[in-house]
Amino acid sequence: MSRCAFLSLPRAWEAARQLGNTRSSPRKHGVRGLCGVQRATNTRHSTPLPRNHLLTLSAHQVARSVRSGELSAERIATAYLEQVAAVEASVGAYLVLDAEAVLERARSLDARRARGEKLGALAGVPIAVKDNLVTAHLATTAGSRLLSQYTPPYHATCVERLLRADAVLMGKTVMDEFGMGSSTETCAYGMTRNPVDTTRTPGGSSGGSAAAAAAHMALAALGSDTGGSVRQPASFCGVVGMKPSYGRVSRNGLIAYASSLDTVGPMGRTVGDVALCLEAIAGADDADSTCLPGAAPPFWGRITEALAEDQAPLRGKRIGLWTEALDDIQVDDSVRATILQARDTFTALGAEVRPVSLPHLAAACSAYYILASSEASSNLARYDGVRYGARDPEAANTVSMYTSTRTHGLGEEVKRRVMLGTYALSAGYYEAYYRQAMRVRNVITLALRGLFEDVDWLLAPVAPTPAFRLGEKRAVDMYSGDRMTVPASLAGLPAISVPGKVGEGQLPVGVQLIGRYLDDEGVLLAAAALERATKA
Amino acid sequence: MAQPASTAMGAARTAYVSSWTPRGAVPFRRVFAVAKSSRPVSWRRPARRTAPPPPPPPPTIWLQASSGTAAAANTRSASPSTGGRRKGAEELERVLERYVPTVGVEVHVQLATRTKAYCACSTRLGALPNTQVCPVCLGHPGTLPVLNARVLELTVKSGLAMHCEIAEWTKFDRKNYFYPDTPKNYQISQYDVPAAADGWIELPTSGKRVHIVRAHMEEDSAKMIHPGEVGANVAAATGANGGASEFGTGALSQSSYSLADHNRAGVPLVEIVSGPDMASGAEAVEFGEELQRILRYAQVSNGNMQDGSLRLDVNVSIAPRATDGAATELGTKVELKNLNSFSAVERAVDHEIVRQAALLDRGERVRQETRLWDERDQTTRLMRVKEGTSDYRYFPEPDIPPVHVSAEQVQEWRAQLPELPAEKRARYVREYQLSEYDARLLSADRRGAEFFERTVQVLQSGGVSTEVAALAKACANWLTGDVAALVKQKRGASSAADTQLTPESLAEMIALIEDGTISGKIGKELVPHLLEHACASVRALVEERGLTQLGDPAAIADMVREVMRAHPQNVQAYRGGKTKLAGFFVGQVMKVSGGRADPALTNRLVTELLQSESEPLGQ
Repeated sequence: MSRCAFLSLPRAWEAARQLGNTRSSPRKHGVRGLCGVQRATNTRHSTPLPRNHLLTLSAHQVARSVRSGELSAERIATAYLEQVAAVEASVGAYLVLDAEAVLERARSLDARRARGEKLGALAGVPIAVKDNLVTAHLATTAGSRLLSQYTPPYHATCVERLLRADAVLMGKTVMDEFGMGSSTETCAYGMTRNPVDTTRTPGGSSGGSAAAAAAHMALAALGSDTGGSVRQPASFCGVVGMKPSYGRVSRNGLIAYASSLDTVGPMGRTVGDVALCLEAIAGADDADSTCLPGAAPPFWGRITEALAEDQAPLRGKRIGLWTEALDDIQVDDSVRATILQARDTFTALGAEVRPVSLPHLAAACSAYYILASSEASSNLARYDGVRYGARDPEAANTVSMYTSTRTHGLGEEVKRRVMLGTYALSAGYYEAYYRQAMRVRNVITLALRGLFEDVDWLLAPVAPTPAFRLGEKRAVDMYSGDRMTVPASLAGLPAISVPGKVGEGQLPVGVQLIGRYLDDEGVLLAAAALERATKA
Repeated sequence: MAQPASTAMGAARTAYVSSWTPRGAVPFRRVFAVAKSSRPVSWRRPARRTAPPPPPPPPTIWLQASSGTAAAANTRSASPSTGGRRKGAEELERVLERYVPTVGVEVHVQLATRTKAYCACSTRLGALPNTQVCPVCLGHPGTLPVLNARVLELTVKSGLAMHCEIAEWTKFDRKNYFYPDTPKNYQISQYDVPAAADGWIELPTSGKRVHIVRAHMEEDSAKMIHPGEVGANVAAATGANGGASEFGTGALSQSSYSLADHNRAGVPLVEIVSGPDMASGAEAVEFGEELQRILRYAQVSNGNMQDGSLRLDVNVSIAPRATDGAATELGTKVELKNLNSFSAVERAVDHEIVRQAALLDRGERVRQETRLWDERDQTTRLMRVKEGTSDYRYFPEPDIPPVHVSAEQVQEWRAQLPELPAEKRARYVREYQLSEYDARLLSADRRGAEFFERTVQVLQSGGVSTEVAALAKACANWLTGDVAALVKQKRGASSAADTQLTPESLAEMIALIEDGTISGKIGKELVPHLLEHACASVRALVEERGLTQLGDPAAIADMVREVMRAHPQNVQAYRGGKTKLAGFFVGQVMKVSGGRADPALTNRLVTELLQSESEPLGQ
């Protein structure tokens, strides 16, 4: 399988050359030719750490410098494109990367600044976007063959808001087809490798976005989280990934997988970067009736303030430690150790950590797969070859055209879930499956609502293990790996994965913090406090 | 940077290539091909015109209501298509002796909103195909529906107008089925909590109440056109709504390609389901016509059947008649579609009753199926067999949160409803002592009714001393007689309100007749002029044209003598006992006077002079 839509990067290469980096000559029409690194093999190695200090700046630092003119957006963009050139071949995070457009965009920002315009909160910040967020005039496939020929006519609301905040759109990242998967291996155009260890999966389905952020191929990235698709890859790649409260960020332009669970979430190397991105994309949207009214709170400013003034913001706060998740025998020792380490850190920060039992959550995964598949079976019905996307033009009649288009256009995992969902919604089964799953969802929502009367956050692992090897697990075997992330999805709660402390040479492990409905700010704050204490 | 940015950018933006093309690329426009003609392709064969029923006889009197004509008119049915005996009527009667038909109606009504149900595209009719579309109504990836508030308002209003209970909380559901006219391959509809339920409509002639089971919101589909295929119109018409799962057997596979016009996709509909409370095609039509009036009064829909704003599907079953006349138990129902006019509804239902009876008579079973009315052959033909119920896999629409309709909101909308046709009819009978027939005719159209009421009001305030009932009757006679006949000939006019005639000028004309200034005959001559030309003062018009009535007895007597001299044989015959000839003389005098002679005076003088032997027999 080959990438669907890589573009030639002659000018990016030219820019890189002028900046004094020597690279092998780019092959036409392929990003791989630009890359100095050989094609990845199955021997373990990590992608090189960035040598350019520009790549270590935070989103806020970049934006402030670009706004003030201290740094040009073009320099930032070039630095990131160089990093892409250096590591993309071994990671494969991007499906579409238009280096020309990236540089053009950066230059236009610089030109606007030069004209005296005040640039936005993400001025010059290079951000990668998961390929299920539609981008006008830029191919969007959601990782599916069926959309291989599809170019959306509009921008997703979150993409538009990033652009309005003067961010630089780096490109579209690899993902499991339609978000269905936990390893980014079900993408029709090839998988992404974990930058920490290229023999391993970056997680999924937002694996491309996580890998891009982790490998400094973007400062931050947007992913989408339906049952853990932002948090789990963030954990696997050692970055921060936030699933906001359902309705916090508009879903307009997010290619639907399971509408009642889908959320758009930012990913980045620090909680601050994630907070700044979330602030930019959150808020009411007329195009999405499920989006909450009101403007987004200034997340970044508030958590920065709370931490900067050294007010010990976690003092007296109560944190529940989800005991069933920790006692789970399938949970890897390193995961358990990381979570216990986080518990100790929170205690040291003045919070009270108490074990909490949530037995109802055992049914979460089953309910999730029924509900998500049911909604998916309906959401994906529109990919029939009639209006857009690929189609089998040889078919003799409509039914065979549908059948052939969907048989060849959709991947195994997608077809499995569509069939599962169709079954669950069928007459005679609806009560036993869909309705029952809805009941479970209500029970879980109520259980968590009750919990948050006693605690401020729930501390839990993100996934039972760190990143597993590519090809190691069959798709259905990964389903149960979502059991720690789906409760927050079913209940619509904000949840974050923030890198925990791991031993030298160990794979990254994320710490999950789940908060009260709409308390996205609290979740960011707790994560930021943990992050600072962990890095210290 | 050596290269000019523009070319590099241009190439970059368009150079996406796909790794997978299923056996060759398909141009996007193939599905969206626009018809060459600037007129939208019609998917309906023009219905064979049945002769319109003759207009009611013109009123012969004006202020003094003639009970004779009104009574004659009353015997006519309200239904336009029951006027004459149709072929097969005897057959139907014979069937009805042995079987009891049960008829229920399902109506799709296009709501009169400016924009679509879930996006901001225009709902205007007649635009070029696929020009009123956006990513939402084309079902593009990532798009979300946002409910048009007017859709809820109009649905609730229609529910209120049909005496329905309005749900305080209502929600949307997805009805899943694959059909190329359905962009998302599901329709956003309402399943278990319709916006309105459990109401009724009273049929005007019989007073029978037809139960309204539910009224719910949903969206229309795209319009499919299958060029070059036999019977394209019928197949295309069935695509919309409930056209699920018939592809493969239908027209799609017979045409080399199909066109989809998405201008109609996402247009808001309310689906109204009646109880199985009707027993004939005529009753189904009466229900449909009353529903159409209600929806038009409430300004919920324009209710036009010919452009598809009102679509009736009818369910028909028959059961053997028991000795007490009632049905034994309900038979298997057959759904009839493609009914593009009320007369098609009536004929199709009656045809179906006879067809089912023939099956049962032969000892066969009626199959549960959907049949299409074929206007050309005046018959129904099989569209699809319903094997069990279709599984639409309904589930709650996750993209639209449940909708709360507060009691205050319902009150506000209820207050905005006008007096509805049934109330108006009852008031006309009560207040104006009009016949039920006149009341029905005058209230058929809301603006026409307002015209009538205003005319009566002007007459009353104009100091015409006559009783209100007599004034109303005079107005009714003019409006349902001469004016209605002329309006009918005018394209695009449905009542006097659509002409140059104003209530004020009609009232003035009636008053002129009343005070003897002009004769009724002159009035009849004035009406066509008044319909075409705005007229500030009828009196001025009459005077200018010299049309005022002759009331001078001497002048009329001279005319009578003149006529008598011209027709001595008739005078002789009259005096010999053929008194009926008086009418001849009156007519001649009217002719001589150019219609201006006072009819009563002329009558009197003609009789007087003819009976007076002293009058000369011509000199």
